[in-house]
Amino acid sequence: MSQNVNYTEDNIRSLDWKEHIRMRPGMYIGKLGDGSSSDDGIYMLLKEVLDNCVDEFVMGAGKTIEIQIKENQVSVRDHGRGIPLGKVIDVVSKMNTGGKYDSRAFKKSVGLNGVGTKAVNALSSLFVVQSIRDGQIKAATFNCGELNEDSEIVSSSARRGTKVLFVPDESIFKKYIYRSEYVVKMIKNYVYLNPGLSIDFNGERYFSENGLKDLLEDRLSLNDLLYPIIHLKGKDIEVAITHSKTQYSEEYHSFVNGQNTTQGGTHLAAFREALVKTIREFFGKSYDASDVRKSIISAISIKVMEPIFESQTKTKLGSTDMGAEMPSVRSYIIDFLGNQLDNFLHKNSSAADQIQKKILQAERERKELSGIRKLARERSKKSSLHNKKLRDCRVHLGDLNKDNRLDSTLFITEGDSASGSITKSRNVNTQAVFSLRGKPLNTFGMTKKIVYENEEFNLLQSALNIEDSLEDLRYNNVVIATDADVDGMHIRLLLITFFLQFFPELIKEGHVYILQTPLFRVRDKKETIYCYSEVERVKAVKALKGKSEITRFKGLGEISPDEFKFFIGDNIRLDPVMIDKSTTIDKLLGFYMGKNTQDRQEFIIENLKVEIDLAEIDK
Amino acid sequence: MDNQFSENINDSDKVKGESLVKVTGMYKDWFLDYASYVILERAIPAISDGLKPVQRRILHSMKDLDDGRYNKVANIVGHTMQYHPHGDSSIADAMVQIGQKDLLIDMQGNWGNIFTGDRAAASRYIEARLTKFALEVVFSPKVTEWKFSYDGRRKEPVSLPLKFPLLLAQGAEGIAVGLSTKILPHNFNELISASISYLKGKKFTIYPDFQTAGIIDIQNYNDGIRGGKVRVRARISKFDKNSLVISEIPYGANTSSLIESIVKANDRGKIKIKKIEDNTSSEVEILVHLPSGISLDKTIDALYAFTDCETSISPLGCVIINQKPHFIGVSDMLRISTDSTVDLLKKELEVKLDEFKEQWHFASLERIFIDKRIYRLIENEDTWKGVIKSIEDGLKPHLSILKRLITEEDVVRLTEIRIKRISKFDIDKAQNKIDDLEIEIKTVLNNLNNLINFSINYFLLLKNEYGKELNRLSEIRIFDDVDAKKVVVRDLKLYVNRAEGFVGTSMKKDQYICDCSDIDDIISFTKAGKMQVFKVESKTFIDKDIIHVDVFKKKDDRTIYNLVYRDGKTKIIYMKRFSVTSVTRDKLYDLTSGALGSEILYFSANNNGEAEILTVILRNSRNVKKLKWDIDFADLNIKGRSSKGNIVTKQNVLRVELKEKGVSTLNPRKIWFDSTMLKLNTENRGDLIGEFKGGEKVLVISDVGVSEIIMPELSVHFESNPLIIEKWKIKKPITAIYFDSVKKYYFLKRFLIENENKIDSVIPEKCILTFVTTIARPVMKIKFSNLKSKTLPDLLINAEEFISIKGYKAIGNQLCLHKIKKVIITEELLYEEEKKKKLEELEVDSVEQIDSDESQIKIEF
Repeated sequence: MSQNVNYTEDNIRSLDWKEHIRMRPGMYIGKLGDGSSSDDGIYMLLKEVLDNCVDEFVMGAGKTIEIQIKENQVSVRDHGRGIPLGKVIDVVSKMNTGGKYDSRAFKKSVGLNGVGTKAVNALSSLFVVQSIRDGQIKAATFNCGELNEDSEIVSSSARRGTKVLFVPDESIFKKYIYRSEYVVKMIKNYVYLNPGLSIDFNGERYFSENGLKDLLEDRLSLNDLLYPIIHLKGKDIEVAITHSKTQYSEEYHSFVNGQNTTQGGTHLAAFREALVKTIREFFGKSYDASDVRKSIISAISIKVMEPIFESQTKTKLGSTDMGAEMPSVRSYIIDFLGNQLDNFLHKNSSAADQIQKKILQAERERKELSGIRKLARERSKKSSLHNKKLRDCRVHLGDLNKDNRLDSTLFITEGDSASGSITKSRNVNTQAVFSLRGKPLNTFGMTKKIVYENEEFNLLQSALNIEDSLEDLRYNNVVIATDADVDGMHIRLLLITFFLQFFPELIKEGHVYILQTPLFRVRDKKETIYCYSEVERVKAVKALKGKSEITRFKGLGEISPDEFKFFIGDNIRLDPVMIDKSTTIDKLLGFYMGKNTQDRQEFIIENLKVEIDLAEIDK
Repeated sequence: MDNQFSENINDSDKVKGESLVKVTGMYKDWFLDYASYVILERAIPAISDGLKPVQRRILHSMKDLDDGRYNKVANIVGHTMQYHPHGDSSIADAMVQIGQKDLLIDMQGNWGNIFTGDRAAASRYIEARLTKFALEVVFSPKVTEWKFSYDGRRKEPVSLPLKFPLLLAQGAEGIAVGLSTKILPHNFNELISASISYLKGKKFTIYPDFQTAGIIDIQNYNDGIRGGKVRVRARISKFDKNSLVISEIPYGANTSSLIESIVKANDRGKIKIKKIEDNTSSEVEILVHLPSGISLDKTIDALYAFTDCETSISPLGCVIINQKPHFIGVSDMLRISTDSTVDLLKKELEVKLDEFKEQWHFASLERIFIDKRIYRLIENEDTWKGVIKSIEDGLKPHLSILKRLITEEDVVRLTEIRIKRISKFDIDKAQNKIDDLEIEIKTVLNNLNNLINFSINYFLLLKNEYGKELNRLSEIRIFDDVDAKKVVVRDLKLYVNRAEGFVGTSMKKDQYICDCSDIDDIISFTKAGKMQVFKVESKTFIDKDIIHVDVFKKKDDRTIYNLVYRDGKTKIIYMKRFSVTSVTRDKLYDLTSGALGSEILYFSANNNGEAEILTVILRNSRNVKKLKWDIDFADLNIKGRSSKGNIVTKQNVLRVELKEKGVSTLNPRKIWFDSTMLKLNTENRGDLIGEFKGGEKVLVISDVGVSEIIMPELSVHFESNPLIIEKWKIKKPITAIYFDSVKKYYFLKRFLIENENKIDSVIPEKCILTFVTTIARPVMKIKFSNLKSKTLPDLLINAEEFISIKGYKAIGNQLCLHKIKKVIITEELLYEEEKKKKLEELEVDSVEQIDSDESQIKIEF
């Protein structure tokens, strides 16, 4: 039975640096993806390049960065000091080469191991670097890390700085598209964390005066603020705090040295602790920690010397010390808040009153919920033993040592139509399935009680593990996989309403997606084409000429597991669910999910979609 | 495989662009997708055929499968799924609903029961086929517009060519997203009549008619437009002394749900019943047994007020016109449907005309072909081309009689005529056929030219053929408003603690006042002269020194309050009489001038306006001689609550005490009978039946001769218009003529009602009441029907001379043998009523408007 496996010297290979990066891109940039998710690799490439530019700004060189993205070609230009011309090629193509090893120069930067730009270089089908300093310019061009062109140093009148241009390699990032929403979000984070820095993206200028305060304001509608944002700054620390009027859950944005630590870490844990401690001491009452933090919306940014992260993608801080002769991260943050926040509350009694009211309200609500919560706990005990609606996967978002943890996905499916075939065709390492039965409840206008009362919601909450906060979210991607028919649309509405009502940060943080599945299968004897829209279908019919069989997928149940493998595999098509600020969530839900109104009736009648029977037009 | 996939995806991605749809956009897209679909494809019927897609597809499938025999419903449902990609159970349910309307589907097996709400048997058991009516009005393939089914495999109608206002006949109901529809069913024959009226250019109105019958009030139907309202009542009648029978139920209810609502009302204490049983078979029959001592009439009203025996339906006409929902009334729907019927008839005629013309063309061609022996020309030809050519040439000289040019197709068809046909060709027969066709063409043309008349005839045909047994089921009547407070069962007890000033239903240790219900209002008076009306609660604080508490009756102008008070400021003593008919709830009213220290010295509440005599006793005082005198409330006019009253004295009064009870000073109550509502009233509606004082009663004799003595209460229910309804005079004789169908003879009897508690027939069994009068001494002329062209002379009868007053059960005297056509009263002889004690009837002002601005504020509930 067993094969004779040769293991000889021939099997031992020593990989070139670029070969290694291209073989294991996950180690350097997290996951690959096609750009539909904000943590997809192509954004990491941009980030690696930007980090260097921002570091220049931090060092006080160059206040403007220009970014242009056109048809997959990304160019980033800073006005920093420029790479020393003699080392331009080394810096971008030799491993373990960089100017940040001496931590005196870049002591509080993120990308100091000198991998960043090399990874970008190795993963780009075209990579151009230009450095301008002292009236001279040096340029080099690479292809997948291979040097193509090495220009001579010539004189130039251009302003000093570095310009990097790259095109991510399509053979690694399949069918990718840069979504400007995600780029803008990233840019915004940079400008919020670096007041004074201005970033120009495709002609649009991003700039922040008030740092984290601007960040919170950007995330929230002003009507939703319980009191004006508390904005505190210290050496190596900046925090912004407010409470939401409507949101149930806690919302934190945490950063270390300009890196968005989406999964928090030591600094966030300390911040949450310090917050509760300070507020308790200010009021002299031992409020429950969850009541103090309920509905809080806040941001914290700290600078740590030589930070240690718990993962390669740097989304969770592991450092316990600030570095140099500074105290530990925890005591530094506790001291800062205990001092600054306490002072602020003493000076601003109206904000303090609002906070106290909110805490008392939270306490009341919690007590009201406690009975039902207890019941739910018992149920969740059962569900933690076995969640009957969930077919789990092996790797979860919290497994920091697993490379593919960012691929962890929960498919929420509609009834029996799809859960069977998704289960059968899924990648059991990263893809889990949660099956709904029928249409979920319309939760608009309901209180959080329903999350405990309704068994399905309760099980969903426990599958996601987001009862108290998003911190322990078990899946990076929550994908709603309903039929592409009208009832499927309705279920999407109902589910998104549920999330927007009770877990808006899940959507705000970009974890929720809609699975696109084909509407038609057009096939003849030789070929099969899956079409995601009417337009594609018409095109496919033309392409196949002769007589083709058209199957309209009414439900996911019509797709066999073998076919499904393709739809949820590497070429999965996901539409991210993103909140925009054109209207408030309350208004949005009130209009679409609330009571019948004359307005809505007119809106429907005016915008009625009439399905044209293409079959007739064709013939 | 992979390559094909990727190519395809590449294409689409270029289309997609880089920006993302945000959640607001997603909501809009999904919501509109869902809403549009539910509106256009699920819940709202189309105006063109009045059908929702599922109904249309069911009917189309039934036509597909139609071979005259019954099909299993499960098979039809399966077939329908070729057009309707949804669950089988929803299709089966929709089909059962169409079936239960009993118009389009001929049903076999247990299709459920709309009266009891029993469900139909499983679709694998029951069978169906289209009715003759459905085949006549629903289908006409040649004028149908077709589209492809969802998978492109089959054809289905865009809209069925319905030549009948089906939507209005069946009604429709649907809740979509953002809007809904509720179109009520109407009567088959009335709809056809309305269509005909419309075609004739006349006005028409249509009202709903329900399969469950019942009684309906359509005053606010408002053409079925949003905002209209139809009230529907069960038919409830008296079964015997202690029970009621419900024989028709309101639309939307079934016997189970109705009984449930009655039991619930009983549990809540709103009505009191002993037992309720469902004896429904093919007809509805629910027996409601009452405990003894409960009024049947009040219970009927209470059933209407507190249970589903009366429901209110809000129609909302919404239909799809040209792929958009429109809110229109039923008259518009009828107009559109009628227009479309005319249009369809026209199209059918045109199709027919073309067919006849084509037949005529070929018949003529054939005649020429054979008669002129053109077929012989073929013999010499050996090529197909030559054959065609020779026929064409042969025909050429004769073509002038044809109406259109011949085509090659025509020629080819000629070559296919069999030899047998040629050899047996009969020129006369052929000519006859052509002549017949010409007549047909003429008829069709004529119909087309007189399309409106043709359409009217079509509608008349439908009516004669199918409308015979479809009479109106729901009786249209105007409802009186049941005052819930008057008919509710009073199952709570009202108590008062006068000294401390509490009133309520929970204070069992305090003084009991009366029974009340939880919807009652309470009126209270305090010694300080304050009055207020408030909702009954378990305990309410009024003010200390309550002198009177009672259940408040709105619009009650028979209860008169008599009071004497001392003004707090001037110390003058006043007396006044007033009624309280309407007030604002929870508002404090002053009965005195309102001055501090005012005090009520004497108070009485009189249910029927009684006026008593009081004695006023003054304190001893030197300069007053007369220390004691009587005052009579009967001397005082009844005024409004806020009038000041008349001065009794300015002296210092020791006390006021009752000397003698008095009698009512109010006018007797005038009562009318409203024959449209079949109810008594005091509001001058219908015929005046008399003025009633306490204890006076009403005599009712129904059209079948059952007499009854009733109290003149407004809640009494009548099942039909009685022959006699008037104030009952105990000694006044009644005269009746009836026909004894056994003895074949007419009888005349005079009698008195002997037992006022008995409901009984005034004539013997198996007899038919011909005439009855309460004129005491009538002289009658009897006209007879003509007998075999012989005219019988009229008979003049003086009843008093003919027979004396006998017992109630007496049969009377034989009158005549011949068939009576008519009885006319020619003379009423003087009848002296027995002497009555003439009461001193004081003229009183009933409720008088008082100048005070707040005196008659409408009560706001």
